[in-house]
Amino acid sequence: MIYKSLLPILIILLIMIVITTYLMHYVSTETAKAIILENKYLLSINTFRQLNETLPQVLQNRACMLIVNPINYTCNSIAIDMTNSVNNALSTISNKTNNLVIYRVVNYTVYGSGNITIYRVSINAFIQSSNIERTITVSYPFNLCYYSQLVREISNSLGDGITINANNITDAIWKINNGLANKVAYHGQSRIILYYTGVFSMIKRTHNYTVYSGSINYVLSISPNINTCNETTEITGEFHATVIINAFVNNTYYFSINGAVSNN
Amino acid sequence: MALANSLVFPDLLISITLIVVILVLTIYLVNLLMKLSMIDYKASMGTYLFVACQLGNLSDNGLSHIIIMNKLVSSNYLIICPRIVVNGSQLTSSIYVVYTR
Repeated sequence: MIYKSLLPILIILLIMIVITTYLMHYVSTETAKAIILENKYLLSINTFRQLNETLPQVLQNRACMLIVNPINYTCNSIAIDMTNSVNNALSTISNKTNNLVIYRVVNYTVYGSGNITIYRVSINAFIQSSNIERTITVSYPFNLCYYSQLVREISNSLGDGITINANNITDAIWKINNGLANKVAYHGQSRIILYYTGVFSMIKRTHNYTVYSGSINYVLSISPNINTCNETTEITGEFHATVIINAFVNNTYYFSINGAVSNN
Repeated sequence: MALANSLVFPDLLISITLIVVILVLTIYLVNLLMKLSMIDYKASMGTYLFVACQLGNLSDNGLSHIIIMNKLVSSNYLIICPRIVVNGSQLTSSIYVVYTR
């Protein structure tokens, strides 16, 4: 009988079909789970990795913005702008992936340490069951925070008027030059050159002193002593100066000064 | 009639029925096995793309079975690959979603 010998084959076929159907179901649900997990992992890890790669360049660009305008654009502005940029990039990814992974910036800071500037941002990636926290640290080989503060300090110190006491005009000119040299004589990793020019006129004269009043126009040129971005800060300004000569000056009613001092 | 009886004997009918049943079941089995191998193929493709994405050179060069979209269209994607680039002093991000064709 032919069909009796076919029966075992039929039974084996049925068993195989049951096993394969089960396997199919198992594998397809597990694959779906694995793909979702893989993608969440990939999304968060790869996002962190790419931030690690791109943030140094952003910091570099921001550093140049600070070097051009250290008075208005401070270290803190760098921290805020860079964090906003990171937030935008992360929320775009979250939006485009229907919030598969939600990112949140937990903490951020910029600080200068020695000769470098460090930007640090901590990001939390929320994945349904768990969350991954990663801290990204990027550095710039120049202390931007110190630089910004330095420029503001020098600029502020030049805003105040000066009063010079001298024995004669040559001495007065030397003392003005010296006083300005002291204002820029900061140590640090910066090249500072102060060009100045001023005109003085006699305003008062008695038998034992002569008073001159004048204004000094200056151009303060500061640049970092590393050439990561070829930018120079130039600040121009004017301040009032009074020169008191402890003598009766006979015939000099006006005199002018000009020169340049640097921190080297 | 005797000739007909001798030609269409009951054994033949049963044999034909059995063979047809076996054929249908075999086709079903092969179909399931094909689906399994498709899942396996997708998984290995996903692994390849995962590495390509990690290395930052995800592209459909030489891969005729995948299509890369720049947004999430449906949920049957293989992988999602984020891309962050520097645009001046800002960051621009985009995503690549890979689907099978």
